[in-house]
Amino acid sequence: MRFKQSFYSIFADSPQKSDGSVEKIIYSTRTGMAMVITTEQMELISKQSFFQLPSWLLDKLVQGKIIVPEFENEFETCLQENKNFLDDSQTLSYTIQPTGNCQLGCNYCGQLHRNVTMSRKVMDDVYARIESFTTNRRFNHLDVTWYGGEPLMAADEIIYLSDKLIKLSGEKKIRYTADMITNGFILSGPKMIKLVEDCKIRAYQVTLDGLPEYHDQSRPTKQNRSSFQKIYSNIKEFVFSSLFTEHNVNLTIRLNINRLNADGVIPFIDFLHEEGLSDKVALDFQGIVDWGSNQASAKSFHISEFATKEIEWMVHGINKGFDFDGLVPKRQYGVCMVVDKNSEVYDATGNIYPCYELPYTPGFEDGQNLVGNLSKLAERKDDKDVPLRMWNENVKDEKYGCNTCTYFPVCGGGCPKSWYAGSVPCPSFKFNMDQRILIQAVRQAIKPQTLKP
Amino acid sequence: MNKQFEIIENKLNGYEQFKSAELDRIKKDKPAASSSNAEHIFYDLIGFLAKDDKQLEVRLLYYFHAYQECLSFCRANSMTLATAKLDFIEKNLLFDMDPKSNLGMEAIFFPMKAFYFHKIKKYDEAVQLLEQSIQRFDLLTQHKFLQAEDAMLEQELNICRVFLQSGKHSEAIAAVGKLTLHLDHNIKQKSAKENAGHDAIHYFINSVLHTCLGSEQKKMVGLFSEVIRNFLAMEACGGKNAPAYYRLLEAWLKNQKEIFIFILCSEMETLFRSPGMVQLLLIAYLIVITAESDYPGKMELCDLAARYSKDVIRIESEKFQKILSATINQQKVLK
Repeated sequence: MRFKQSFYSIFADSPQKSDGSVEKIIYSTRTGMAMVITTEQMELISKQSFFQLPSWLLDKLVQGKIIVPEFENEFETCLQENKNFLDDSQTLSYTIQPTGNCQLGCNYCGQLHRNVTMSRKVMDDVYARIESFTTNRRFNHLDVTWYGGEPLMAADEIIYLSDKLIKLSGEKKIRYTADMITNGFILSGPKMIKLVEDCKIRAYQVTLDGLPEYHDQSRPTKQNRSSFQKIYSNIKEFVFSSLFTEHNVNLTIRLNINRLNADGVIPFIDFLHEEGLSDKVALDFQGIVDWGSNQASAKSFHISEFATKEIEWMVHGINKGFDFDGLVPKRQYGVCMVVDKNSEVYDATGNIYPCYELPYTPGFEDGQNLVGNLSKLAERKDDKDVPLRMWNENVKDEKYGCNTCTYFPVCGGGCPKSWYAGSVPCPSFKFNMDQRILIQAVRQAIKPQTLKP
Repeated sequence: MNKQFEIIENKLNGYEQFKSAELDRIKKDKPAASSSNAEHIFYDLIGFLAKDDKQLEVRLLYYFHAYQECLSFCRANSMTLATAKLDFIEKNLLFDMDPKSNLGMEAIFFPMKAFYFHKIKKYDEAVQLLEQSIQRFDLLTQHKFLQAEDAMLEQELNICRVFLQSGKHSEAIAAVGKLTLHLDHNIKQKSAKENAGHDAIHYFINSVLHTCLGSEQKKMVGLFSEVIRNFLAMEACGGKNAPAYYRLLEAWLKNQKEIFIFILCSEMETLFRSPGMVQLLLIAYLIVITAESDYPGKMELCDLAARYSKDVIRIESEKFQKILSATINQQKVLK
């Protein structure tokens, strides 16, 4: 039996030692394991001279799938694992978009907002649909994401449906978790107690694209007024509340970034730090991409350029006390919810989709990925007729390049919707993994042992 | 009797003060490996099989980590992944090495596959595989692989577990008898390390009792009795230096309440510090005793004991918690 260095292993520089010498870090995208080795050991691994390595290191390298059998087709193995993982999943995951309405008119948003809110009939249909999935005893976790439009414009509907779903989870003895993607404009008032305590919504994502001079350019209200101050004060009040602390609520501030607001990222990080939010919120930097046919990416960075800037922002953020989970990514068995046939998205009219970026979006909402409607379940499409659902079959196609990409095991192939729309949705870590590993190593002051992802 | 209860009460109150720190430790202390080296037997085996053969070493490491991955999928109830991994192993990781290496790797492959069968409720197949593993380890002893003795005991314990979990109680008790016989023999051979022997007994008895908690409630006391009787019959459990919990278990077995309470009072701190199921037995029995008595502080004592028990039991067994709750409710009705 012969062995080889895994295609899915990457070398990076380790932080310089006090004597000036440099060690290396080897990272496996198949397992997420990373470890410090000497340059001599790196050379031995590169030359496949494994038998000269010490036993303790061989053990770690085999365990971390950095040394693998020559006969193994690693891409096929990883892809098959991804498929098998879905069959074993014990989580039911749903995104509910109870309204198509929103107060903001973000200049990169692909949705066409309209004053439609989920009716009682549709909510009951959503409940019945989810209940039908819970009869499979394999599932022990029900996870709901509330999205819109702006979900808080349908707070009563969220409260009604949450109550039913939480009771259902209790009856079925399964764990219930919920999170919300909100613009934060009305993330305040007495309803927050209900949302956090009764509806168990314990994680929130709110977008702020920088300080007012940047944010209000990209995310004004529909009346073209400033939204920053209101959103920011809501965030601040929420994260400093006892409600937030006592229930271990998480809040992530997402920044959608292109050439127009990139210069504002570091001042914004400084602002949040001065306001005392460093240990209260997480930061998520995302490049602006096309949504539907809106050409929103016209002013965006190429992903490699974005990756370089992202590292600057992360380092600055870390120095200001922000934490960045997942700096070095772990094995990703599923690219996202679209490949999981038990995960669905419901819009306010009862339409069923595999992806939450499709509802209310011209060009997408009536397209080939519309699965059907809750009121006509018998007429819904088979998974094989919904292109997004078939990503794990199509990712093998050489035109995407995923079958020859070192990062496939930690990426899963990127956003299928973007691939099908003609974009290249490779993750930023493909272009800045060296620096990510280095930052993680510095943060953990690692010894010659494994690095936590 | 009341005086003794007062002592227990004081001891339990005192116990509350170090409870939080101790409890964290106890929670982590599911019955740990009997060997002082917590590493898998494989790491002894690889030193034995591939001492001067790096090529073989890499191959054995690859086999071992493939087995471990399959096990971890089973533990996570990811049975599609586990099935695919087992299929890959059986098709590709062949036993076509030198005879000793084949024996060694089969000896650790069979328990992995047995666990897979146990997860899919094919208990008979699981037991057969464990027996094959014992057979392989037995052959390895003839090759002077000394650690094989401990590994065989571990697989005998696994057989007890499979029988208990599949509801074959008489087979389970017979397997416990076989395990204690071999354990006694094993300890005698290692008589120089007496403490290690008691550690091993402690580990095995706790492990079996722990598995008994998964049995039907009404059969549990009977199973406990049989298991304890088998263990106490071991020569190694005798002698004046034997740990207090043997004597305590004996009192439990013989329903000697006075002696039980005496040992409990005089050795409580030591007993509570020893991890595993022994504490659960003590507390359960304490509750039973207080429920039967006319001691005026019995409700408070029961609540205290139950509160402690629940913390431990939460991670151990819902069934046991139900027993305790039922006992407490019964007392409340009586009151």
